[in-house]
Amino acid sequence: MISTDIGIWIGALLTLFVYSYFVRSKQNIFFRFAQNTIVGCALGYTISIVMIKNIDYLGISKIIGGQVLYIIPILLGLLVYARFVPGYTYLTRTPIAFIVTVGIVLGARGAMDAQLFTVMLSSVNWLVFGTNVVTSLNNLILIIGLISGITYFFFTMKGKGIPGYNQFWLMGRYFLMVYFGTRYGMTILSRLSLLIGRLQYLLFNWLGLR
Amino acid sequence: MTNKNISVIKRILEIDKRLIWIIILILLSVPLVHPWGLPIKVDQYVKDYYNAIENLPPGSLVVCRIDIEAGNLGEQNDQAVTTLQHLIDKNIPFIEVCFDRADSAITFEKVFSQVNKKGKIYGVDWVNVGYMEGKESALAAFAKDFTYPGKDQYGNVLNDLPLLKKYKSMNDVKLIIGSGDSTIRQWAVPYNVKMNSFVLGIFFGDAVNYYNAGITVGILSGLPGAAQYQFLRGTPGLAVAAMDALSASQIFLIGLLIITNAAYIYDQNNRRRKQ
Repeated sequence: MISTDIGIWIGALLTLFVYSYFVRSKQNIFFRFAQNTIVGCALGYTISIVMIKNIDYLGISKIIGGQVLYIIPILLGLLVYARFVPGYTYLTRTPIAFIVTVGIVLGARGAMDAQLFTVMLSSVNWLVFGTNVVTSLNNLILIIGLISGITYFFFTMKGKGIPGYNQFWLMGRYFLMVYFGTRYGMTILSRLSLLIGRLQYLLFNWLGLR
Repeated sequence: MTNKNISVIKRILEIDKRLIWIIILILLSVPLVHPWGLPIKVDQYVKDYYNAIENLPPGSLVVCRIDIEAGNLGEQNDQAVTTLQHLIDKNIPFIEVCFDRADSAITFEKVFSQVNKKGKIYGVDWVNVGYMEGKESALAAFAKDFTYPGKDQYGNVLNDLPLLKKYKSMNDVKLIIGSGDSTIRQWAVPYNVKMNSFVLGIFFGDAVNYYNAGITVGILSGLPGAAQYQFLRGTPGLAVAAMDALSASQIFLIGLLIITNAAYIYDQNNRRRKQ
């Protein structure tokens, strides 16, 4: 039985408005209405949550609780708005420098170990011989794919005169194409999953076909 | 080549996109309403994901970073519901926190409303910290001290919650369930905690790198992952039914890909021959 819940009706209509794009493969008034509603709601909610969480929970509440040092990040945060005050725009640089530096340093932590060394070493599993045929073949493909793929991005020095370099370079290109093709296939799969989610909503929650 | 052949090739190459969408819509809708029950093969990644939770001793703390933005709920809803139900069934306390988008806090509420809580008490068995702004630095600060955000999603003081009186930091955690490079950089590697990857299908390729490197112990990827997980737990849900729809549409798209590419190559060869 079709839903009588106003919330579900709004959700269903907004979904249909978004998909109305497909009728003529271009934006229309319904699509734009849904798009602007979603963007507006998301932005409004995000701003309110960030204001409450950052200013109240992490700022005012902590200072009232006796952690006076929290005044420093609040002042730094306020300095970001100095760019709107003519003659004082340079003050913005200090908080931006803090944000960028802290971000880089924290990002670097763990990145070297987790994202560079461990992943790289495990990717290049040099064990080609002494294991079963399938694993050996996989490892061999991995090694060839990795080196030829890197070769494709070798712009500083072309391997002129090296026999088979161009073929190896081309092979790298094919490996990259296979990778991008796989990623694209995964994207399609993912997008269809999202469509299934909406269809479940329309068919079951809205139309009550279950 | 006959004129009839040219006409067929031309029709294939100039097929109306709306026709493809309508066929996909039908292929997705029919199996959803009347599931066909196509077989499901459970991947090793999903088995490992399942085992990582299943083998946790009771009372082990799990930190979930179930960061699902509203737009991705269609794909990740069943992943999250099944994971949280598994934790509840196993009496594993957990803390939920999100960092990517503010709407993740709302989607978590929606997801958790579908879980049978079996009398579990908020603050004792689970805590929802909600959304935290600050990305990488917020992740690092939270790992150091779970009470750092001050208050939870509902405005309760975190220091007052019994679960957070018992467990203080990432050092007390036995398993992380989450996604993103930042989770690995700030939590899993520095604190040497096991991690289950909880990702969208599109990020499966990235998650496999970490799995192969031994940084993560299992992967739950998109709708197929959710279906396999539900199948493994013996609690088939919407994801299992959705797999028929996904398979049907995939077969159609693969067929279309082959036919249109063959038509394109045929057409190109024909043009070259004419020149």
